[in-house]
Amino acid sequence: MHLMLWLLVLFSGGIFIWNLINGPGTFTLLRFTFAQLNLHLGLRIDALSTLLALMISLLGAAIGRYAIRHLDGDPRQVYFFRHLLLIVLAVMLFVLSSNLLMLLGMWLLSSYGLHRLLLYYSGRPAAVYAARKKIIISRLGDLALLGAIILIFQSVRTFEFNEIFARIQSDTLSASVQTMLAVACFLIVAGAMAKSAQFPFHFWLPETMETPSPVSALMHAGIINAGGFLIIRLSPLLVYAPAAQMQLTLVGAFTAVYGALAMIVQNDIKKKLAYSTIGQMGMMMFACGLGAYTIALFHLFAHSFYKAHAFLSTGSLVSESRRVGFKLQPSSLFMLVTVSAIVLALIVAGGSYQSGEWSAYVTYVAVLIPGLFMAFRSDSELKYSRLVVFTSIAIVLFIALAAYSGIEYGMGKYLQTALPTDRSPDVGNVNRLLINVLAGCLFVGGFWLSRLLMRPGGGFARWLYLYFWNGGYASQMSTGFLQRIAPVSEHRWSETYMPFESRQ
Amino acid sequence: MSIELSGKKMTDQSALNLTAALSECERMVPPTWPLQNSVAVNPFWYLRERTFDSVANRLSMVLHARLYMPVAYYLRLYTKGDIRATAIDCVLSELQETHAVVPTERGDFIRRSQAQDDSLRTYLSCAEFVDPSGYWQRTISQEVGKYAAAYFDERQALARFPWQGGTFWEGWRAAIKRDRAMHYAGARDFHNGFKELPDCQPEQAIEWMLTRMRLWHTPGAAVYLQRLMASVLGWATQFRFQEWQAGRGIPGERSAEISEILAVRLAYDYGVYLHIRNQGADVILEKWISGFESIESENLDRDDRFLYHRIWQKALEYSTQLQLSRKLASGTADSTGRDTIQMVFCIDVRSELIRRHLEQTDRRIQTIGFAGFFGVPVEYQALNSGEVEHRLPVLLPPGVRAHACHTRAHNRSASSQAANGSLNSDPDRNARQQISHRETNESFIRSFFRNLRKGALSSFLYVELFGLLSVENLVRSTMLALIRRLRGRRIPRRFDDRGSAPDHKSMRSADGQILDAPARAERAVAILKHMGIHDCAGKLVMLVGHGSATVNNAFGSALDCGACGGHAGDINARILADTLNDPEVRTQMRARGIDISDETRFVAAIHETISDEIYILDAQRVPATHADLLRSLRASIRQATHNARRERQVVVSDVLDRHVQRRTRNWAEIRPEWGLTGNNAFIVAPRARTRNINLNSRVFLHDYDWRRDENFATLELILTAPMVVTGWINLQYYASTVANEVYGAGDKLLHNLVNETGVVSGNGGDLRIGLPMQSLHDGRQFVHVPQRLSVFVEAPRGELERIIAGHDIVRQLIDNEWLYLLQIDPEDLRVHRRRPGGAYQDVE
Repeated sequence: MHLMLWLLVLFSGGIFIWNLINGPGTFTLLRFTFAQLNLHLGLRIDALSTLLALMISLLGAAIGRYAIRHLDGDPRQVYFFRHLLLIVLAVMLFVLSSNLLMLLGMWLLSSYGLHRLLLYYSGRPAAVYAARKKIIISRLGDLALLGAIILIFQSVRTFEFNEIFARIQSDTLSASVQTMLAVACFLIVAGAMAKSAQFPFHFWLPETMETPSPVSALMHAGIINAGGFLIIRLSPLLVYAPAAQMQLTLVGAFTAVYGALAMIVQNDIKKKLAYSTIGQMGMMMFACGLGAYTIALFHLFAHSFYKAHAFLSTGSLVSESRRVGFKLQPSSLFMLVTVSAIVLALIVAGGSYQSGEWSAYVTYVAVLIPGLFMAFRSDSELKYSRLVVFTSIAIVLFIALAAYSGIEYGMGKYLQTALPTDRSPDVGNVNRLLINVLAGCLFVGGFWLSRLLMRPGGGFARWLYLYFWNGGYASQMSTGFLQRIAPVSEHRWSETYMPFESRQ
Repeated sequence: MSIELSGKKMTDQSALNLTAALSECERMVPPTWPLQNSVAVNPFWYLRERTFDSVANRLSMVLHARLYMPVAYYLRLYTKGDIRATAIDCVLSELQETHAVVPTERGDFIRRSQAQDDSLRTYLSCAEFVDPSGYWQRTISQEVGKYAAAYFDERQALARFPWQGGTFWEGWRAAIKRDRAMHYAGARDFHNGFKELPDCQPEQAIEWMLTRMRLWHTPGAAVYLQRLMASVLGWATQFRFQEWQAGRGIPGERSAEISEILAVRLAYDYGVYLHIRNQGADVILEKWISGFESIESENLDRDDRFLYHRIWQKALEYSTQLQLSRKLASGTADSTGRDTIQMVFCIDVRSELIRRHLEQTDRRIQTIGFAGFFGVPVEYQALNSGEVEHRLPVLLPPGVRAHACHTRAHNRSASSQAANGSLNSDPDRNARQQISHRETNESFIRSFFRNLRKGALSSFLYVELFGLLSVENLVRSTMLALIRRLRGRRIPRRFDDRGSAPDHKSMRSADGQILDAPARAERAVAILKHMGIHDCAGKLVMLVGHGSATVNNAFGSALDCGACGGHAGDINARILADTLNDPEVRTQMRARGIDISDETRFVAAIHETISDEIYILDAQRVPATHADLLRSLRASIRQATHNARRERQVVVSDVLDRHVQRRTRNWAEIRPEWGLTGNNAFIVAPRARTRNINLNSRVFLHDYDWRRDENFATLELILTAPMVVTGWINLQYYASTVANEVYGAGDKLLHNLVNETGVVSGNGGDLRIGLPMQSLHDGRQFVHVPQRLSVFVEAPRGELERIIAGHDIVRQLIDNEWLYLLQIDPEDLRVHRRRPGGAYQDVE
């Protein structure tokens, strides 16, 4: 089965190259008509889909290879591989699908596969709770997506992406159709939020650690991105619904800050990584909301590999922490004030540009700035040469930045054909500027709160610590709720699979 | 209030004796070391004054775990022939004297044991009693784990628990005023319950809560507290560890006592109690409380609860002893001719395999078993490391301190010293300072990027700029085996001998005095005498430490020396080899009557236990005169390694793949090696007794010849140190196998590192201690057969008895059957088992 994963890599590599040479195209594999509906099963091959298909298949293969040894001797190794293959295939077809119905089908299929893997240890009540919470949230997302699809079909009478995008660009849409599409956009955003663990749909994610690490790696690197992909895929549609985008901007920014703050108070690595994923997904959605789809896509890409690696290598943390190092210290007040001012000034300045595209980029870069300054304060009692240290750091950062800009530029060129040409629907829009400043304030606020968390003095800081430490109590509330409506007992599940400690 | 309460205590006969009850709880708690330097701990260390069987009886009730395997397991071993009929008969007849209920006849016994019930669920805590589905129990375990993890966390969370400065109990009380977790989990009255609790110590709080729960006057209250303790045993071991370290003069940052976590655990039970009471379900609570009336603490020590298990277990151990003693009787090997090369290995069971193959391959080699820190209990500081490693058995205090120096400086000072014979450490120090300066810069830069990754908002920037580098990491880790294969065989990085070396000349004693040549010579003489090679050292003496090279393995250090705090033995071996090669030390040794020939050269090496490779360290410093010998030895080692691997594949399990080398570097490897799985005996005798027999890598081997032991000082040392240590390792494996839910770390796949020093299973809960399932079980069955250690000693009986009488710990371990002592009669080499009390019986 591991070999089949590599075959998928070959296949996606093939279509990736095919796309580079021949350009985008749509292939219909199956076509059938049902009650006057033309239903297609087809592959949409363009820069976006082939890149993501390649990414998914590579991750799947790497995780599969890891699992050969990691799940060695485990009676459920085959179970794992079956579902890994199912999920990788489903997600690949999800990104490659040429119409909305197939997209929905694959979205459901990957969700099913993930559910089965979350129940890898179906004998552990905590695993069952987590899977149930995920089911509830996912079904909310499915409903939203289904609603959006129905509305889109009502307005443009087709499921095919090609035709939808062609129709909405033809500028002959009636007012009622436009309203329907705007509502559909809100539903799409809602569906993406549920899928990509945006606040307040995030709380199930930190509880999914009741599965082997490769499952977590797959989920955090491969599946959770689906919401982001949905937004990027439907971006030609979304640019006509600025309100939905603004909503996405704020939700993304809030989730990013929330996840980042909850992350730094966690005492175990996997919960830390889960909150980190929540934060990073927020960042991706934030970029989507700004209309900076290239950045969002690059972020999705970088984060997937980063998180897969992080989950698979948690074991090395033990030997790593033997090394000496300096601990991060809370930022000084002076730095806080200065950085906050810079961030907000940049956003305002960026928003005053004529091009919405630039405004988006500047805003995105501006909110990254606090992070850079944050990392500088550490408890260095030992003597070090400031000159050497700061020059080296500056050089590394410069190289990284140059590479980053280069890749972004390249991605932008590469994705030109797949993404909406006009990404600045709201030039000089005051609302847009306000939203951006608001999002900037969220990040700046997060910067201030992180200082409070790292040196708790007063009652508010302690309350804040307890709040984030408990993940906003969402876990206790939801478990308590499930316990009341449908309790999971060890007896009931005793026949199902347990980790082999319980079977002698 | 406390005065008033204690006044009442004096007069009230039926009240709980809290001090006694608390000390009873605390005895259940062993220490746990951080995973960075894990130690194989005997979980019953503080219970050793009682017999194994009475402890097993008592604990089973509060742990919800049996300290024996299920009867079906023993029956299977009986069918397979691993448990012998004669052994069962022997145990049965022994028990006749004390237990009238035991069936006298074997067939009857086996028939009746098939009907034995293995279940042992008793719901003692309120949380378990009121909700058998386990919801409250799990919630409480999560909550207590949450607090304990945050309290001890020094590395993982950037934002620390705000109350870390005080005691755990104070911190919990302060935090719980605002922490709404239990409220949202369903216990709405949780917070109100503690409004009336006065500011007091945990002991008084326990009394306060017990009184309100109407348990203070029930005879079962002590057992109730033990059950609570057992349900948070993992985290309690961290409290014990703080105490252990403080006892050895290494105070931790936290001042934590075991009674604090017990008080916190009780508080949650009290919270559930209030919740149920306010729901009006007093009937349930009455039923729960009345259950304690019938529990008499003393009755728990009754012997017959697990009588059948106990007989089977003993029969299994007797069978092993019988089998081993027959093997030992099969003949002593001839040692003549084996005097050119001596290789000193750790007593570790994994050494047995490679030693046997080395001796079979090369007739010039004599191997010696000796404690793997080679008598050098060193506190070692590597270059560019802020951490001081305690490379010594945890039961010993550190004896010497040493640090690393740059290899070039080391060689230079060695040569300059050889030239003028003076101790010149200046170039050494300069080199070290330069390095430390550069290292500080480097580590700051590295820390900057690590902090960028870990910080709240900076993590976004990190992923943007450096996230893609993980692609390279992912590919490299996935393809690593291939890359390494192309590069060929190299010393694993952790044992790397290039760049830096331990500086034996800078060694200091524990009180800071620098050890001059006479002092070092004195230690060297003692070590060589204990090794037994002070008068017969060959041309080449190789000191082979052991360690295991794994990557991405949280339990990696458990595969190193289990006794030496999860460190490898390379540094100790290198220090000792350098010391013994030092001409000055040799001169001083001669003055003490130990003449090591100038021809003799000591060489350090490391036995990598996953691949069974032996890497020779500092080989470039071996003089040309020994080059040929070393070359031919390398060839023998290669052959022996090959044979050992082949044997391992056949004997242990076919689940492991064939590419042994790859396992040391594969980041996905969940079971790099089997560690000390299977260990069941410790043989203290000359190697000649065991050279011709295959012990299946299950036996600790210590070389000892009583005829050359002055005053039996070495014997005393072996029984008080290595025997105790091997007992710790053995009981860790035993407990992890029979009660993995409590004393084992569970399934490695579920592990979630907490505080970067321990693991929890899945989302959280109690800290997991002991060994993970993957170290004991191959997915189909247990590979480790749990047996208490059988210690075979070849020495006169009188001396053994003298040492047992002189050392409480040794006596307790043997008399209370935590391990078995068997004497190999020096006259006829027959084996006699020592029964508790001091009678000896022939194992046949």
